Amino acid sequence: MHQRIACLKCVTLALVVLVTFPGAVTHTQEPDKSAADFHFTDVDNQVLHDSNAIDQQYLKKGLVLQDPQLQPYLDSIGKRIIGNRPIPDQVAFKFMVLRDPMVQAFALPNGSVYVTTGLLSLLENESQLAAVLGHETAHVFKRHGYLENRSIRKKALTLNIIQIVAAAAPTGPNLAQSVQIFGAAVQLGAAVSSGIIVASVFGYSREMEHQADSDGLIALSNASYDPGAMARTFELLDQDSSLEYEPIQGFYRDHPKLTERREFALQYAATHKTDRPEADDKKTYAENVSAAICSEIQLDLSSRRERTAVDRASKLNAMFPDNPKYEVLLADSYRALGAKTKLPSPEERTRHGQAEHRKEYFSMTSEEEQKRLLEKAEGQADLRDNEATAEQLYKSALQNNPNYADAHRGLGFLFEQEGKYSDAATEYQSYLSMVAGTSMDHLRIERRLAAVQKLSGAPTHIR
Amino acid sequence: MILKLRLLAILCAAGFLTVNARATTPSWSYENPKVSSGEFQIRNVCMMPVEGKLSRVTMKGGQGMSNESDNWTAALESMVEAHLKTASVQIVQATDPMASGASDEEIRQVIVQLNQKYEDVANQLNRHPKDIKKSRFTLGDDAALLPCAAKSDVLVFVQGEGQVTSGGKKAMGMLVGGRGNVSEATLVLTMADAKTGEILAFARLMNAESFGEKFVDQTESVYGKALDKQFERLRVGMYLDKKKH
Repeated sequence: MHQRIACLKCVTLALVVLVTFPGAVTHTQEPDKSAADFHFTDVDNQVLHDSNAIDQQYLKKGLVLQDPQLQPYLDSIGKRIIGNRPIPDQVAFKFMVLRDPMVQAFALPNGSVYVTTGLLSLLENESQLAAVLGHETAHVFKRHGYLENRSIRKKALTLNIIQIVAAAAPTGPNLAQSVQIFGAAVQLGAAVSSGIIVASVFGYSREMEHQADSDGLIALSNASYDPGAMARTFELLDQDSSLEYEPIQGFYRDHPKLTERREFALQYAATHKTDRPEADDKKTYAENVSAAICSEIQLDLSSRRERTAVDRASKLNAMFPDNPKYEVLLADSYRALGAKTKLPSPEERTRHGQAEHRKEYFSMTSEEEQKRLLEKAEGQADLRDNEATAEQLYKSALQNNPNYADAHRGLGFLFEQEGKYSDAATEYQSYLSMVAGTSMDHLRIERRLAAVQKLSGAPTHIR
Repeated sequence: MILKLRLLAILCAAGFLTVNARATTPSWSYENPKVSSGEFQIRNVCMMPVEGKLSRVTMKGGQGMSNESDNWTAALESMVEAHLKTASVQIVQATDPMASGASDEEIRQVIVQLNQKYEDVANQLNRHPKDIKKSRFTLGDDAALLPCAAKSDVLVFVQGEGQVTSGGKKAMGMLVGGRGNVSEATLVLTMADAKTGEILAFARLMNAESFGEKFVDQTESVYGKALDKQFERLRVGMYLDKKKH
């Protein structure tokens, strides 16, 4: 009897709520979904406003990388990808690079397309970058941002209604709890900003992603790029995801499955060949995006992604072996690797290994992680190997260019880390004499020099 | 019937009092003994760019509050700076090249790197702030790359995060229980040694309101006192010269 009353109560409440919020289940208020005759509503205007505000925030926070070589290069690829297509209302395409190690690209509904330094460092050539821009611009052309935002809002409202009904139902507490947890996930994402921002960064629906892939491939062909580049991009993304533990995964990684997307791109590429060999040249691409790769390596080293730093710096160094800057960056990366291996071990790649890595990431600082690794003989051996590689690279950079100050600084850091204080002091002194007070780093090195001289027993003497 | 009405009135009054009692701003801080003992003195600070994020949670999901977030960030920045100045602390901005010859782009890169490092350390710091005493957390001496670091004792990171809950959502929160029935905001201040990068102090100020969202436009009245209290605890600026409690 009690159960029947509770059930009746539940149904009545549901009816009351659904009458109060008709938009949750009916389609009467649903605007036209077609991108061609898209009509702006107040909700869409808010999204547009938010997108512009986000652009401002990125600029204000210094996240946008402004490089005189990279920017025109990116703009030219973007322009080619857009081609002669009519630009939708309220869209002004802008292509920008974000200083962010997360491998990611996204487009805001106002036409701002962002590619992270993380993604630029992973890609191999211009065609692959064009593939990414083709995909992203498709989201803008098809108004996916606005449409997804409307969808998220509707889902959130429905969830809230279910929540109220569930609270009154006989199985109330348990069901309410489970819905609340599910609701929290939607809310948490949406709370970052409006739904579009969440969707832009973490991915649209499966259908929208598929449509963007498809339109991106057409745009690639029309711009005379090889559509096969999109398949290779997915391949690279899939390989790279196993290099480090990532606290947040972008949509490129798993939504929909990369293998499916790759297959689709390959099928298209098989029937649409284009001949533009210069766009596949790895060296030209690396030259143009080198500022992003260097920035990325520094960011990787600041965010516990030493393996990625080694990987990116190795590629750069292999392409430009005579450039001391890249050699020193690679040496810095090996030095930062410490007791870690260059690649994750088979054990680390297992499900259990990944779970352990995740646990460590959140419970240990990087210094504690290094200490734990050094407790084992393998860790000590890895440290010795990495330090030896770093030393060799620093010395090689100095052999090619004896006046390259950063190599002396790196060697100083390395020797200090190894406890060779007097050698470290010599290197720091060389660095300071070369930069003559012009470097941003001279104060830090002066302090380090004083410290190592004290430890080595030498008299403290700063220039 | 009259008894029921009286009971309802009493409950409402109790609810009102509870809400007002909750409108205060509880705050906590943790510091390294070097700071509390006065061995490390905080008289000059370098302000890292303040980050304030507000979002609105309604029955239709989350919504951005971009304009409000911008204003809130500015309000938080000027409030923290004003209280530091009151405590006789000299302030420099992290973006200031200070005749170092460093370009804006170079400074921006260092700021982003330090923020990355801070976010990484924050994973453990937010959960175990007490470990500051054990010198467990550091940003490394990359902190000294900022030109402002030369003339500062600490780098100050200020982060605010607030959630404004709509009336409908609050009502629903009351119906189904849970934490959905309040608007809340947290302000976190972290101080790192400007030369070595070691995290020396951490303060957390929290505010939850069942009615209204004072923290959005009345930052001073919501956080002012709590901020002073924490600066005094951490012996920042002129508080260093006062006798330790």
